[in-house]
Amino acid sequence: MAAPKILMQRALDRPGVSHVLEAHEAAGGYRAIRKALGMSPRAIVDEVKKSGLRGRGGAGFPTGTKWSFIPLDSDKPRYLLCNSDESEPGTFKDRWLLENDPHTVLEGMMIAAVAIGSRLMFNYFRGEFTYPLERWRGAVEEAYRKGYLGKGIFGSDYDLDVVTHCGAGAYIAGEETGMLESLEGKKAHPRNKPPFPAVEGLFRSPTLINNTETLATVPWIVENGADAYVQYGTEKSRGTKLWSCSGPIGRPGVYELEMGYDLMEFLEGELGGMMEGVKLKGIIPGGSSVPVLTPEECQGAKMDYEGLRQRGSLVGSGGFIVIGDNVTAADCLLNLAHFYAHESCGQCTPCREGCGWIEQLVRKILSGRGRQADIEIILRVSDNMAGKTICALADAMAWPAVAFIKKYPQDFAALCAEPVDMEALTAAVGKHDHILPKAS
Amino acid sequence: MRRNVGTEKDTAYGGRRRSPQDLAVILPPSTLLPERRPPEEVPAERASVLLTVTIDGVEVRVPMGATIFQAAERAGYTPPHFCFHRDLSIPANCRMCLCEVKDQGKLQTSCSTAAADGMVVAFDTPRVKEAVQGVLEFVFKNHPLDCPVCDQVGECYLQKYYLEVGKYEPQPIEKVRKDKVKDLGPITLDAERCVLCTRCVRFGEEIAGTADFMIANRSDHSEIMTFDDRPIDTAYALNYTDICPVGALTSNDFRFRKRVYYMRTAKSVCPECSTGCNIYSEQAEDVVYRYRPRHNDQVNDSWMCDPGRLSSARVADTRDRLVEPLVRDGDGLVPIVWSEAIDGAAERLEALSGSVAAIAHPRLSNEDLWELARLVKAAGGASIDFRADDSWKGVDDLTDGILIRGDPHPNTRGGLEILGLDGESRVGRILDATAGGEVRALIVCGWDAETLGERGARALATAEWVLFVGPRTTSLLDHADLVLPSCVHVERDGTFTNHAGRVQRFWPNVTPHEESRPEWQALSAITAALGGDEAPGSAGESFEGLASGVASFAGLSYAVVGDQGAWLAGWEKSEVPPVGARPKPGVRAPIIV
Repeated sequence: MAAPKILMQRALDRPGVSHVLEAHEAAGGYRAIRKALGMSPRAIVDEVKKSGLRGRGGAGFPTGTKWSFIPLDSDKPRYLLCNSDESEPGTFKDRWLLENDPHTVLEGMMIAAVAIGSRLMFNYFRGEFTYPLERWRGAVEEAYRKGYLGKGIFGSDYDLDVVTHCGAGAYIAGEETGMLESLEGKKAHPRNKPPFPAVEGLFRSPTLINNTETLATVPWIVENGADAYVQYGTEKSRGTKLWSCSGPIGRPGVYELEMGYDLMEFLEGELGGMMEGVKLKGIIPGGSSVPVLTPEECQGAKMDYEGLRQRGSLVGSGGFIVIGDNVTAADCLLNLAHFYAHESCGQCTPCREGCGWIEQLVRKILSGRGRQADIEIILRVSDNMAGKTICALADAMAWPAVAFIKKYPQDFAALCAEPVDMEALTAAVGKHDHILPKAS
Repeated sequence: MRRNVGTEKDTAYGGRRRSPQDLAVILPPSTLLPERRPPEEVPAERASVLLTVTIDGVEVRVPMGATIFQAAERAGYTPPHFCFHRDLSIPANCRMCLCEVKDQGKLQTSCSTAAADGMVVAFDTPRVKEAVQGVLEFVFKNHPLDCPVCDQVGECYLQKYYLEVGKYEPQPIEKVRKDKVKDLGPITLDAERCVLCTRCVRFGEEIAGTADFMIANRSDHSEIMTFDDRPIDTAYALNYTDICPVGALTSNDFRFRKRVYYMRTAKSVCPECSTGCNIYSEQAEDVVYRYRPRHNDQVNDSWMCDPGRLSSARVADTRDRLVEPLVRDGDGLVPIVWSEAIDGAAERLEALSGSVAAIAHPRLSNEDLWELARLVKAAGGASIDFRADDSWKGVDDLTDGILIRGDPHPNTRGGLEILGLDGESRVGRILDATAGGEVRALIVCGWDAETLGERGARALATAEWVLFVGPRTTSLLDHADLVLPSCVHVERDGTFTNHAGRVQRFWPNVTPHEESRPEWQALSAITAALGGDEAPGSAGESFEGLASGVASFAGLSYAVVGDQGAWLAGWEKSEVPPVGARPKPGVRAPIIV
């Protein structure tokens, strides 16, 4: 049975008005939250746990388990925080949801808030999301007017408010503890863990942070039951996922696929294949932070957490970037390195200095002045960055850097000023590629 | 003599392997746990529970709540670090103190990782060494390498770590340029040299309370700056230069005056107020160039105020110092040798026995006060006080809420205890008695004629014999019949008792100016010449006499006082709160005996 479009159907059915409350309710919106208000918080968490839903922000942590970490007996207030700071290059699914179906996101937030007993929710927006923000503010206003937010939501005795916070355009504010710092009014410097936000998050209170897409999936699960959700996807990757597809392909855009979909079938089918005259060079399946896959690795790959992991890459945030043979791997790496060098928060030494260093070296290679030693330094610098910082931004730079050099050494070698000893380069890659996610 | 850089500095500078004896003094440091981690609630019955942690094969026992870093220090190894400071919160951002914890995949920062029972930690592995070397290479990437013109040379963490854990192959690198030589009032900022450890940012927020510094910009363009480049306006500004591990923040007072490796360091106590901050005095060619705070978590943690620190200039200034004993000859004072001065003083005191009084000074050490009291007693006198002005009333007033107290003298508490004083000052009565002729011989330490006022003027005019003891020329010399030059605190051994009753020792670092001698030595020599007990051979011996003669000093000796001080009997405190305007919530590690 083909999976329904759990996340996209409502919006696709009502183009142009899907963000309006009336249209949303006509499509069955706000039924799940009414149901949830009649359930015990424990039961909601159990239902989400049973559904096998995993975080869609990048790490893929089981959502229900995360919810269950929130201590319900704490005398501190509990907060729900929706992470809408979507800034990973190649990822634009949350933006689509917020633009086209903000009420579902809001409903998901409400359910999560009820499940953890939170009376105040936050939605942290990426600074550049002006249009989604407009839609979201409209949705919140409608909900308040209808009594779906505020004192006694939906006629119950549950008070619930939402605060919309707009970031100033920092990728690192999307890291959950960086987001907490930013919300508290400080620079978005990620925190040391432990303590985890579930124990001590926003204003030192228990805080649940979920990705926009994750929360948008929750209403469907609560309404239709976890048993319905687990029918879709694979054993360990349940349900459906949004993929933001870009690159020299026929039909770029946001797609909802059942977990475990065949990667090449997706590329050739829904995406309409490669653009004319361009051959496939590689695919970054999960947003800029995950290792690239070569065409060979793409063959037969399944688009779910385990399937991509098995090929040595990750689902990440679902930013499906197709790379054509009209660019070199060094160009791609420069694009990413420039991004990370600009977005590193500057807190930890390795990431602060390493990202800029890699960018410098890639620029040098692209300018034709590069030598073999420069490629090897990129590898060594990546190795010294990965896993040695507070948050994962250093890994997000190091993985693609090593992966690009490992998989396209000839691209880099061809740009160098002097002939490159490929054997020595392969040996250098072998010394440093242990930082990449292990292909299982 | 060359100073062995790094051995005298606080443990934060450590790095060398220390002996267990050293550690007994140094550890456990105060453990302000990281800002973002609340203090671990340790129930009373478990507070004494110790965790066993293995550091590079050495088994150590640390209290619950200690970090791996502290355990490593206990094992004799200080991991390399920039951002960690024992009296500040822990951001774990420099990534230098990495260690391998058994059964954990990633390397951990030892400063921020709590120790657990049975934990097996390794620092001495190729993986850790390579990682630390890599981090150091990153730190150096945008560093200007301007050591020849940098004033931090000799006490720079970067230099030290390059030699210890660096030594990587240098690579040609394009550097990011940042601001250099920004004058911020008391200190100069060089953002290029900065390693962005944020110690200054945290000090400003947590200790000084003025939040002077911030990190501006992102990634490798991050740099520390003050808002709008405004000058720093706090009485604790020079602490920024101490905690800066590199040459980014240097003291405008000290910079370029002396290379630190030419200086010799001694432990001392700041004499500028009753707080009694523990300090190092540093000198070269017998000139004191600077004071630096010395850690003591019972008194000043790792900090001191700028007025106290800059008083080193006063010590270095010898222009008004007394150089030799002087005796009255008509209208003037003429030099005599010490032995004649002592004998002459004994002769006069014997002749005037029974009508002797003394006005001591709260700058005198415990030993000086004790020997003065003995002398007055031996000469048959009874009246002795030091409270010639009202400053003693501010002995406990913490005027700025951090370290500075209202009483600008170091030993008011010692004077009150040793001389057994309470109630109002008796100085006025002594002066009136002198003017009335009941007191004929008056001993005055350090004060000037103006402070003694009109009553003093009458007394000085009437007194038959006035002995002045002090380090510097004052207006009182006009009335003195005998003048004995004394040493300042950096020239001698001794102890002060701070406002809270903590007896703290200071050590000599420069040779006494010309012929000056410590007061205890001069005064006890006169006592001996009067036929009293034999003079003590050292300040320590004098202190032993004090310990047996004054009840609250009972049981104390130089060995007991050590370099961290000891409480007077009856003044013991179980817990001293951390110093600072807004110290982060934290707990001090329970002290293990």
